[in-house]
Amino acid sequence: MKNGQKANKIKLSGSDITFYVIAYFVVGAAAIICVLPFLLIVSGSFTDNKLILTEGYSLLPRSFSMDAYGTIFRNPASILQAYKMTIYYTAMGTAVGLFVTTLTAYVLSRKEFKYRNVVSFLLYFTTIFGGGMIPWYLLYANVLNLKGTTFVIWFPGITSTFLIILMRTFISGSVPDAIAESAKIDGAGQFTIFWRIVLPVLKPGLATVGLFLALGYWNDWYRSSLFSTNSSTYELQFYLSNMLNSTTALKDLVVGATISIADLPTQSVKMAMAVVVTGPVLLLYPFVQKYFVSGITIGAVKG
Amino acid sequence: MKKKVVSVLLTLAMATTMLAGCGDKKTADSELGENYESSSAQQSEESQEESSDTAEESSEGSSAEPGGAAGELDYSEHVDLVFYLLGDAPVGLQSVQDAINEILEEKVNASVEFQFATWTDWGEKYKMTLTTGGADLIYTANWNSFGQLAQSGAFLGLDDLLDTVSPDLKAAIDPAALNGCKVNGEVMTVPCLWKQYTCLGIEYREDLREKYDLPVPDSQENLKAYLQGIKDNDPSQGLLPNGNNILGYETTHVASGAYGQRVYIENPSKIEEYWFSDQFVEDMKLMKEWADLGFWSRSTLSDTTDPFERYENGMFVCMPSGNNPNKYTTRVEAWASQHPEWKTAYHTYSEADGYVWSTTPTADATAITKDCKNPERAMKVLELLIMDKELNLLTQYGIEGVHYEIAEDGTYKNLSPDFGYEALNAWSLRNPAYKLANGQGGVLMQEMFDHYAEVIEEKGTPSVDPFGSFAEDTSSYSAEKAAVDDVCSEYLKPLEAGLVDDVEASVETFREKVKAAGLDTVREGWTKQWQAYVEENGL
Amino acid sequence: MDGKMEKLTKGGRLEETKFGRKTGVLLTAGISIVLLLLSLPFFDWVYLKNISALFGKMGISRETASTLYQSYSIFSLLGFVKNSNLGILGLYSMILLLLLMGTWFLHISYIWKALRNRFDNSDGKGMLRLYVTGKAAMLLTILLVAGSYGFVLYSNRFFGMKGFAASPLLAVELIGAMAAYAAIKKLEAVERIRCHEHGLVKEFRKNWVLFLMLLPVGVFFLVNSYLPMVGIYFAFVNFNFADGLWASPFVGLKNFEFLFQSQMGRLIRNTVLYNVVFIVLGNVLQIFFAVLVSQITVKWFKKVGQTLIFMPYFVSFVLLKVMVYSLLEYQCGAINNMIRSSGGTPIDFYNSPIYWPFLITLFNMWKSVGYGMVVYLATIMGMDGELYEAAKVDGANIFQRIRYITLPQLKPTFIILLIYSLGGIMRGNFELFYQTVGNNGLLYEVTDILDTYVYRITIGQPLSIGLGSAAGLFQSVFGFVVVLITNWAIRRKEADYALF
Repeated sequence: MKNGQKANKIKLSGSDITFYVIAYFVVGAAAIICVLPFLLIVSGSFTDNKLILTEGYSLLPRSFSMDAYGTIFRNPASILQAYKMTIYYTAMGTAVGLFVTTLTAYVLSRKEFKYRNVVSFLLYFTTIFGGGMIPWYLLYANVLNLKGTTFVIWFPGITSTFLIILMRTFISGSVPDAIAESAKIDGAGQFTIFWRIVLPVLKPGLATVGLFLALGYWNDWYRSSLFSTNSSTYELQFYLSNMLNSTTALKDLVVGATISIADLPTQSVKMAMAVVVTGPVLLLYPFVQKYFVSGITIGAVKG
Repeated sequence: MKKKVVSVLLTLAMATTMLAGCGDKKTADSELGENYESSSAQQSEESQEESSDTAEESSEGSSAEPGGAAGELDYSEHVDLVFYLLGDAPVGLQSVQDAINEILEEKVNASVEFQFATWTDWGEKYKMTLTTGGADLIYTANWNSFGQLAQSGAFLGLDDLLDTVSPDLKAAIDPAALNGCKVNGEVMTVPCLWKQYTCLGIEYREDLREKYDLPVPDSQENLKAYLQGIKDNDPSQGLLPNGNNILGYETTHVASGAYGQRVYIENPSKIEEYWFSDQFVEDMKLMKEWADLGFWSRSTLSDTTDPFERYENGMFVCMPSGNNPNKYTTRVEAWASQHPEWKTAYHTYSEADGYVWSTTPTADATAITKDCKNPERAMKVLELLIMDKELNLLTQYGIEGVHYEIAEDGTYKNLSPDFGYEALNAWSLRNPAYKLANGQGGVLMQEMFDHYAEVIEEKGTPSVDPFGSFAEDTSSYSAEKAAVDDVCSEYLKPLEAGLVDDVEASVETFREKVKAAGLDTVREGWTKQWQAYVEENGL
Repeated sequence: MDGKMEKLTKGGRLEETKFGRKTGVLLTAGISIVLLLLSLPFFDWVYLKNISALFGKMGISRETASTLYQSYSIFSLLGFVKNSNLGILGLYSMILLLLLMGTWFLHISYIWKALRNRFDNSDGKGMLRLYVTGKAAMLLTILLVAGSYGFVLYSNRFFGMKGFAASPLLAVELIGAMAAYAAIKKLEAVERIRCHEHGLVKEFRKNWVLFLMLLPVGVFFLVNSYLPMVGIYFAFVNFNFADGLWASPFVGLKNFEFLFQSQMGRLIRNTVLYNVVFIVLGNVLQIFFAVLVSQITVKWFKKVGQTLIFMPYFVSFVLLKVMVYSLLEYQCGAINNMIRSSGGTPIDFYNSPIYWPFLITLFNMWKSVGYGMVVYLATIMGMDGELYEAAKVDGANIFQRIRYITLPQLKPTFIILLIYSLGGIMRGNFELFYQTVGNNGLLYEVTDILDTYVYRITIGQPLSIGLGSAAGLFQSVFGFVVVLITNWAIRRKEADYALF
């Protein structure tokens, strides 16, 4: 690939130049469209809440205020705990999930596995039909008695049909059957083929699925909302959104009862929350990107 | 037409399932003897609960005589209870819970675990906890569907328990309030002892009113003059968040009403037409007039930002809807420190008539769930949490000396952010005998409450909202109700926001659509229940 | 195949087995027909005995009794449950009914296949498939009969008396199904030897590692998806707390009625159209950007561009709402301020439905393109680089390379993602619509989708479990049918691309 790029620079035809001009322009424009609102958010998070309410948003903060961050970090121990737990859930879930997903996808991509269509169908069926939240909750909370544990927060997210199917296409796209067959003839067991031959060439696929899994964990708040009985096991997103919800909920419902209202700079806190949640991911994303930029091709393995 | 086809299809599908192969079948009826009396004929009258065996078993606990007076309760077996509350757990929960349990263990050999719904999706989680049987004691409120939940059998009837286990508690409750907590003739929840008033009113900017010499917005004309006056003097000032409730002055005598029908306090058994009346058209024209005057934003229907927060920041000059003394006093306190130059004032809509009765008792109460394994002990614990001074103060303010202290003037003073004022959200346990006022707002609110109590005494109006405990059971017409509600949200809301071009035409469309959606069925269902309620309560 | 078989069976034996095969299949198909007929609604499987005592226990009034019969087929059992208000038997009856439907389907397809079969020159694979259908039909019938006996026992135990009895027909069904199963199994064994095929047991022994590899995912989906599926039953009950989840009265299709109100056409139109646009336009844009990004050679630009396009994914819908509102508001929204300052007439976005299909599509694309792009980018990165080099050497320009090398290789991924998303064609992105539009009735004509409608109906109704489940089931069934048709069509054309 790198050699190719060098060669590229030497002989650029007219249509190639047109293409690159368009490509740079379009990607650049898209990037700006995507980042402008985000700048709005960052600026909003540093603006005084009252100013947002009265004068709206602006790209540059009109007045500098750390109130929103002050509110979020009012209880530093709690938010750090939430960060810690989220990192734990993300790491644990992504690691286990990547393994399980890849393993399943590998089996489903093997032509010699007679029941792969049956299994695919069974997996796909779950994405269409579901029993809703109540029996699901009942099963985890009452039958398996897992309410309040950390296991129940990461376990339900370890894989999904979408990721398995995605991984299956990656495997069948990058590992031709012939290679696996020849390895088999050489006496390799299924697990060896999986571990030694499939996994190494699957980096872009692993990176993608891993990224999706990790983002899923990072952005999840629902399982904490249902299963956490103690603030020490809260996920970050739940911790933050609940903080915001408590203000809005109270304000909505005190018509019928005399309940004291918590006060929170809601507008700027919303913004600051987005920054607090997104920040670490933006720092991490370039590491994942490495695998998108230089995927190892089958050719390299064969050679 | 389309609807017809669909309903025919549905009926067909149903018919094939239900009646397939009925041909020459003998009905079971023919086998029954002449004088067959189902044992449930009486049962079904008693309550829905007993229609199945499982329910019967669980309700047996409540109806079983626990054995005479409270003192004779059997405490030999330790009992763990779960008390489910709304909102978030305070940081200092564990220490307070331990302190409470230490006393409870000693007194009644029981412990309580406080579990919280958290404010995220609280409504959904509350229902789910009830559905899956995850609690013994639970906070209930009319704004959280208490009526429907109780109708449906989610809570235990408390009549016997109150008499046998907690006569002291029963004695402390205002009989009118206890009466208001009855559903199908049985007390289903224990109301808060503290009398609260949530009389609706309009909050406005007293400082601006004085500045521009405008009338107090105590009537519709005055409100218009007030708004127009401010608009004329300061065109950039926002006025109202939306058109909600600016007709509130006219409806102070409305006791209840639903689906475009109204019932007036003076004659609650008479149902009066609204949606199909000329008054409705007039009102909607008024809304359009005001909207066209620019009193509220043209984008108001999609605006979901909190209007109170914006009023608090001076973006509106009055709040005519969803307001109550509690919200108002919070603002007074907030502005005293943040905007001393601003002044807010509150006009209670129905004060002149004396209809300022205290909040419906079901607005703030505690119930025992139908899945509770130890109803007697739960009742006893509830009584202690309310009536025992030490326990009650713990539930409201935490540990004295650690979380709070009582100032010299008798008001509350917080010592630790871990457990604030009423941090447990156990609002239904508040006991006026031990209650501490909190800050300027708290003191002001109590003053207002005392004032309302005086007004009631003066006018001789009932002390508890007599219409508040009506709970509609929509199960027999839920599909029609859903359709009607939906039509309202599509056609009535824009009318009420004054955003339609031709009021009369839009009113016609709305009337047609709402009729087609099954308005008559829904009205019939509601009316029947309302009249039964009025009759039952002798109103 | 035939030649091989002939060698194997050595002359005369072939004729013999062919003959045995034909008789066997036709005979079992005959049994199948009988079993099917016996399970039709004209034959009752469950009888009620000691009716007065039983009804007394159940608490059934005289009036109700007149709507009940003395005997029931599996088909009409739910009618009994419904009319007698005995929710406790509902789930069990429902499962029996589903089983019955399954047996009907399998029996009919077995009979159909068996009668159409031309035994003389049918290949062994086809016969094996036929046998699998037959065996499944018989097994399911056995299960159904066992379930029916179980139902009788369960009900009798529940009500503490002998009030239910199984019809003798059940014994006939059971014996017939067992005999036919044994016969088919025998036929199958012969066929297997002839075609060198083996059954599940042998397959398992051969590829046990692969099966073992599926174990974790099997456990996961069982716990996380299949067991909770009993919740589908709630779509047919009128939930109340007194009876609880499993014993609330069975109400048939009543919960579905609210879906079939006058707005149904509009809801379906909006939901499906938005989804089609999102799926098609979304994938096209994702591919477009993935190709562009993959071709960019300046490294920092590539990285930064990719990261930035990804960022909107992190903007929650709540935040999106805030930004959209401050952009579109009439009096002081950013866009209208701009229009006003340049002397135009402001646009009343929130009262003009015409803009919203475009706006909503725009928001959705903005938020999701970066996320979806990753999939295609990874696919492109996983491609064989040699092909490109070769094409370059051959003088293909960049457009041609993209057109003839990149795009064809993205096709499988595209098709898989397409079929995958079709299953949710009746499910809308609730948050997107709800947060940006809110409860603005003026815009419903073009923005109301099934999910927002159901939300409006069920919110604030504590007993709406049934309505919610019914809506969900409707969405599922609709999506399922669409996917089955699409998958079938694709399977016919290009089997490799099919999802299952």
